[in-house]
Amino acid sequence: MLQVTHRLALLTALATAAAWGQSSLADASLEQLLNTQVTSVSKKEEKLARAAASVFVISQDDIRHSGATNIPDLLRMVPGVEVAQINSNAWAVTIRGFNQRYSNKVLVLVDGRSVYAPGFSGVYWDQIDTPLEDIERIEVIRGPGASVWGANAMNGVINIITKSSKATKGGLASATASTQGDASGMVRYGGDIGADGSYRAFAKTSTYASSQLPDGSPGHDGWSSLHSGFRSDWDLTPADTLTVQGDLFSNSESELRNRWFINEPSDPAFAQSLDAAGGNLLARWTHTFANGSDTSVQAYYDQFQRNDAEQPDRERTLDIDFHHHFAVGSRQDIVWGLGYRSETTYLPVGYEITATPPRRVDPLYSAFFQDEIQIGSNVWLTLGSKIEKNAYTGFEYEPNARIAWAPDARQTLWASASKAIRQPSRLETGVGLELGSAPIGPGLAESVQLIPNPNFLSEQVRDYEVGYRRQWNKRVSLDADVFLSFYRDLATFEPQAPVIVPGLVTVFEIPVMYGNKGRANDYGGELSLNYSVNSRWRISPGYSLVHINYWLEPSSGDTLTVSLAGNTPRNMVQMRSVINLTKRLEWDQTVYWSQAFANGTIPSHARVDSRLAWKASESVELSLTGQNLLRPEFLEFGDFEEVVGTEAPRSLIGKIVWRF
Amino acid sequence: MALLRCRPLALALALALAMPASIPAQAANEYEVKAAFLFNFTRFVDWPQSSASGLFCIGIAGADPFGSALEEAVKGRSAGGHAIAVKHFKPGEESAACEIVFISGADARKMRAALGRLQHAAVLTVGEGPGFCHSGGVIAFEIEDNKVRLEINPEAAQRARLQISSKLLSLATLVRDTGE
Repeated sequence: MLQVTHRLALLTALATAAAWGQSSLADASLEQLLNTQVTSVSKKEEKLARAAASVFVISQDDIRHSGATNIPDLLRMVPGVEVAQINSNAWAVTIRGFNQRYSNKVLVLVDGRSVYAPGFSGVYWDQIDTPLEDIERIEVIRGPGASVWGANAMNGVINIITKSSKATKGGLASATASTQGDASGMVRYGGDIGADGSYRAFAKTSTYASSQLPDGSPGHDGWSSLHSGFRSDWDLTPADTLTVQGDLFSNSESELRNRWFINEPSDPAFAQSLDAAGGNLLARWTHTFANGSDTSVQAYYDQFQRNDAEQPDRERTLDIDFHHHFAVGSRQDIVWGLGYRSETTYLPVGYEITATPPRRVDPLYSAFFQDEIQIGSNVWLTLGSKIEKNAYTGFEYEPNARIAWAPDARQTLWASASKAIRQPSRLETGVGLELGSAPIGPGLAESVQLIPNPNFLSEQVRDYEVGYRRQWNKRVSLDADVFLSFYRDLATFEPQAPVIVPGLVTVFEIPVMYGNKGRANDYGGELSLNYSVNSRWRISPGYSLVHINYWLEPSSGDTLTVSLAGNTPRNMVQMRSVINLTKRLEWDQTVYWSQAFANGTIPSHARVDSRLAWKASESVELSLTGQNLLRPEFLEFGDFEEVVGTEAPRSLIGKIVWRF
Repeated sequence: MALLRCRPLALALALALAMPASIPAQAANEYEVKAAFLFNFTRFVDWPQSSASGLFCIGIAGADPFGSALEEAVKGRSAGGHAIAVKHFKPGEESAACEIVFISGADARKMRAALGRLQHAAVLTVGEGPGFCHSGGVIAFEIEDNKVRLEINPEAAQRARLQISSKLLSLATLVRDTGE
């Protein structure tokens, strides 16, 4: 009887609300109010709403609706993030410009573990294959995040955060197959361990078909991957939690490469296989004190090896981090932390590179401090800095100041000023690389040799931003920001005096040394809108602008980096639409438009994806996603150094997800 | 066959596009519901003396999570024959001149300090989260299964000389001070 009354009350409440609009809630009875479903904003979202930084969050809902099958494709929805596929196993992903395969100005973390490889300064996206169903959200911070995350968080930070194992109990199996010949399968199972613990484990296998070159010849870039992992979460006491997680992966890949970075048309491209394998183990303990302060200790070990004939790379990272968060009085919120990292990079001799020394163990010591001070009732000032001591340039500090003004709960105006660096890597400081070689006459050859610069400096940026966030009502919200960034000491290739090396063939050698003579002033902005047209249809338009004014110091002789700095479109537009046709049927569209690259290498292009999903039952979902629907295939990036770019194909992907 | 398959989809799409733009969301915003509760409390609680200023005052201490929801909820309404005014207080300046003071739950330390200051005043203190009533607050909102639940601390109500109707008490979970 009680049940029935409640249901009736709920119906009445809803009917009343529908008939009279919001204010009629005040006329509802206590019982009706107690039975009204509410949508609430979590503390985290509340804090995000007044964050004095340009933040975009990809939720699990966004992930599902996107129909994407890999993480780089997911990132396309974020204004300001540039994603270009080089071949089927390599991507160039950056934030606010300077795109290349090893985009070295963006830090990427998976559950607090850095996947930015210090050997070549960049991210191997083919090694990050977190099952998309396990991801809770991806937080993308555009602009420097260095005061908390440290070096290399120069243009932004991408935080991939997986669900707690408490939220993934039971089984899940998924399978995908595409018209291109790609296929994957994943099985996950989770449950309780005793009264206070939970776990999940997964295994995933994927194969990707080879794509094509623009002339229709095979791209030789097919690959396959095996990946397994687990996560376990424990409530040790009401005040202590422990998370332990890990992964193992093994990839077998191939790619088409040119002989040289500076390639002669007479040198044909060739197919080459490469294997990548690795694993990691992470543990994090958090403790909340009675006075509300909290502390966490995290440690991880990560290792991988890429058996790439040209540039083999083996890296091992051990990292320990400590954070403490507490309030001082009622107006100050302080977070500070200490960290130690040991990075072992072993770069065996490849057919093109020679590292001196081949193996290096570099310690990184870090400390950070951040104070959020509340001024009055609605202004928050955040001051903080990271201080690091790295093995290449010694002490570096990365301060920032941020201020947020929230005149009411629905809008925030913020501004920030920060400094960040990109730490030198093995590549600039210790790797010799033959960029090209060609005969120039009988018994005479020319060779361009890239030589390391042990005195290479950190790249630096000073960045200033202003942003505005507003929620007009339940249906319309906006997030906008503009930035101005001043870069100095950017990496350049400086030609040195030629050397004649006598021998069977006399070699006219042109050494090119890494330098720090690049400068840039950038400006731009990002805009995101969310509009719920009605309760079933939501559209999310986005727009980004980045104008890079790159130049060289007068003493520079560089001829390469000006073009590299132009691997970015000035304007990009995103449009996502999510329609719940019925309770069981979803229809989603994404349209991405990108202007031509500033250096003219890639013309302007649009990409259209569409997904139709049917919830066959509580446990089974079927979906069909069309990717790249506008064209049969498209070259998104072109060649990266020696790696020959292949075309992103049009494909139809069928997927089935079964929960048990 | 392909054509047949397409038809329901095309129809569904046409329906989706033709739908009116103002279908109300099925769930209400948390703070619109809480604002409605605050107004409702005026009908189920008796204060020891009627307002001196001739206005019934609902105060919000510190951060205001309601936006305009509370103003909208009380617009044109009265409590005990008095017009209702909404006031905002900075932390530390909560006034016992208000009949209801809402203390937002963002900061436990601030919340306890505000409760301490209003301890013996004839004020209905309303807050959020599990610690509020235990710390001496009168009524707390809790969210459970996406619904608002009420907690009431009768001892705290007694200290504030408030009479809470048995109807309101019967719909709430009763809790005691933990002496903190």
